[in-house]
Amino acid sequence: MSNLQDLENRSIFIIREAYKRFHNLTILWSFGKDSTVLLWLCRKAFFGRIPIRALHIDTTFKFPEMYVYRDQLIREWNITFVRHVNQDALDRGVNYSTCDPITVCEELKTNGLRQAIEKYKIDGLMLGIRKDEEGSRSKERYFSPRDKEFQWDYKNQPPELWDQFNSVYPPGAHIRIHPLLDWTEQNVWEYIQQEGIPVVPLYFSREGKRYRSLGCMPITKPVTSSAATVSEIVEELKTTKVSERSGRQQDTAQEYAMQKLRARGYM
Amino acid sequence: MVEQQKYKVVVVGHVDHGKSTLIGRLLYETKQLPEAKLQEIERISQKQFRDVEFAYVLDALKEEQEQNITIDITQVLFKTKNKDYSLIDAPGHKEFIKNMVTGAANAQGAILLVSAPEGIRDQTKRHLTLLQVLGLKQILVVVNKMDLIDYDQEKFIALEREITLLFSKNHLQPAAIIPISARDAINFLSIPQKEMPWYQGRTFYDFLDCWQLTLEKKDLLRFPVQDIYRWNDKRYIVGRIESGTISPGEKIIFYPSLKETIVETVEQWNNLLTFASAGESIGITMKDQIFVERGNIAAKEKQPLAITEELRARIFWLGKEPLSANKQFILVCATQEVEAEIIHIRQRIDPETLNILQENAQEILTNEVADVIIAPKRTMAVDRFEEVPQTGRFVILGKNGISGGGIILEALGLSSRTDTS
Repeated sequence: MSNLQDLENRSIFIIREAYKRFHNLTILWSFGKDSTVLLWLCRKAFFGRIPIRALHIDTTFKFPEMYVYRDQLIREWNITFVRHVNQDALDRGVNYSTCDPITVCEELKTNGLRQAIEKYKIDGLMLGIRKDEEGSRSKERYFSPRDKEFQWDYKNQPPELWDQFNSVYPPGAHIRIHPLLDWTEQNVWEYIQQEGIPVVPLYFSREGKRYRSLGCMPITKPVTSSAATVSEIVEELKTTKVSERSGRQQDTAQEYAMQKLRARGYM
Repeated sequence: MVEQQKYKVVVVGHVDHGKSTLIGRLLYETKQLPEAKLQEIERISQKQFRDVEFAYVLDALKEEQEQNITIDITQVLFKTKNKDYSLIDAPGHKEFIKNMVTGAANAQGAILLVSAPEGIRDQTKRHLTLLQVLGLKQILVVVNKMDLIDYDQEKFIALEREITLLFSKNHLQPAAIIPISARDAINFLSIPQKEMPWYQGRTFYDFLDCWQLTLEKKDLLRFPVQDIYRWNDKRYIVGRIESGTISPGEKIIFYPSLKETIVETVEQWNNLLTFASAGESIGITMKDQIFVERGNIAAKEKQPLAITEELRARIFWLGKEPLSANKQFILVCATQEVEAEIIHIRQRIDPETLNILQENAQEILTNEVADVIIAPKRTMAVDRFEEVPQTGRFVILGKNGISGGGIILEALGLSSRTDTS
C-alpha cells in the first residue's frame, strides 16, 4: 500500500467512525483545498453521497472566485450546505479596515462558529486541519474535545490509541474530528492530482504569483510562484522552503497568534 | 515515484541516555537536516560545544514544530535508502506514559537507548514493560556512549547479557543490540574498524535500512463491522479489514452470532474490487440479508475467533482514580463495545521493577500494569493478542474517555470461570 492509499483508508475509517458516533455531525467547509479533499473523502466513505451537512462560517470577505466555486460544487456533488454569518458583529462595524486581523478572526470566525454550533446543535465538527500546517495543530488528536467555553485543554488530552477515539464529552461541549491530521500539504496536492479533484483557480499561478492558502481577501497574500497546474504545484512543493501559511496575516499578527486564537476555539 | 508507507518507530530510554543526540546525529549524518539548521549546527560545532550540539538541533526542530507549547509527541521524518521512517519521540516528563501510549501504540517498532557507562536504569525497565504491554515486539537496543567505556568489548558483552536477561523477563527478545557513540557518530554509517574491531554486527544505519518491521502476513480474515449503510438500493456492510483478505464469492461467518453468508461484492466508491486486504476501508454486499450489526467481526471458515464471556488480559491503567475490581467500564475491542468489569486482579505489577506488588489485589493504581480476569456483560468475539493483534487488544473507556488498555492473553471458557488462578 502506498503512503497516499494508507492515508486515504485511514481517513475514511475516521470519517465513518464520526458518522456513526455523532447525531449532528457537520463538516466545516471553507472551499479551500483541505476541507474540499475532506468532502471528497466523504464521497468515498459513503459511496458517492455526502450524508453530512457542510457549514461555512462566512466572514463575507472571501474571494469572489471562492463563492463561484462553492456554488458549482454544491450543485455537482449534491452538498447539503448551510452558511452562517456573525451578522451582529458586522452590524457593529467589525471589519478589516476598523479592527486588527486577530479581532476580526475572533469575531467573524470563532464567534460565528460558536453561534452556528449552538444554532445547529452540532456535537461533532469535522475539520480539514493538518499537523504540518502550523505548530499548535501538531498537538491535536483525531478526536479533540472542546468544552462549553470553546477551550481546548491541550495539556490534558486523553490518550488515543489503536484507532479507538474519545467521543465521550460533557454536556455543552463538542468534539472536533480531524481526519486529515496526518496528511502533509504535499500529500493533499498529490491526492488532488490522483483523484482529479477541482480546486479554486486562485491556487494556480497568474503573473508569477499564486495563493498557497486561502483566507479573507484583505489579509491573504499570494506567494511568488510559477506553478500553474496541479502537477507543477506538486513539483514546487518538493523543493520549497517557504511555509504554507506565510501569506496568512493572522498567523503573524502577534507572537503565538495562532496558538492563542486556537486555544479560544479558532479552527 | 509513489511514496512508500512510513514505518513508525518510537524512541525510548532513560533520560540523558542520548535520545536527542541520537536522532539529531542520525539526521545530520544522512544529510536530512534543513539548510538553515545545518548552518547553525556547523557554526556551533566550531565553538566546540561537541556534547550538546545534536541534542540542540533536535530541540530547535521541535521548537519550530511546537512553538514553545508543552511538548507532547514529536515526529521526525527520516529516510534510509529503502525505508521511510517516522521517529516518534515522547519526552519523559510526568505525562510521559499517556503520551508514550498515544505515540507508541501504532508504532511498528521501538528503539530503546541504553547508556554504556550507566547501563540499565529505572526508566529503561519501565519503558520496556510499557512496550511489552502495548504489544510491540520489534525492539532495537542501541547501546550509546561507547566512547565513555573506551569501546571495551568485555564491558559491552556484560551489558548485552543484562539487556537480554531483562528482555526475557518481559518475554521479549531484542531485534539486535548495537553499540554506538552518537556523539562521535561511531557505528552509524560505517563499520567501526578502528574503535570496535571486535564488533561483528550491522551498523545502526544498515540495520534501520533492512529492519523487518512489517507484521508477518497473517491470512486470518478479521473484518470488524463499523456500520451498515442502506442506499443506492444496496445494503453495505462497511469497515476496515484489520487482517487477512476478502473476495467476492467467499463464505464468511460473523462473530459472535455465527451467521454465515457469501460475499457478493467488495466495493469502494465507483470501484468493484476482486480482492481487498488488511488496511483497506471497504464495503461489502452479501448474498443473504442476514442480521449484522456494528461490532460483529467477519472471519472465514475454519479460522474462528474465540467467543467468550471471560478473558485474561494484561492491562495498563492511566485513569486518575484507582481501578477497582467489580467497577463497571466499557471495554472496546475493534468495533465491539461491551460493558465489563474486572472480576479478579491476579497481579499488580510495578512497571519499573517488574516486581509483583500484590497478588489477588482489590484495585489497580494510576500508571500501573496488572494481570486481570475481565468479565464482559455479554458475549464477545476476540483473538489472543499473539494470534491477531488487531482483534486481541482493547481500550478501557471510563467516564472521562479512554483510561487504559490491554492485550488479551487468553479467552476463557464459561466453565473455567471458577478456577481462574
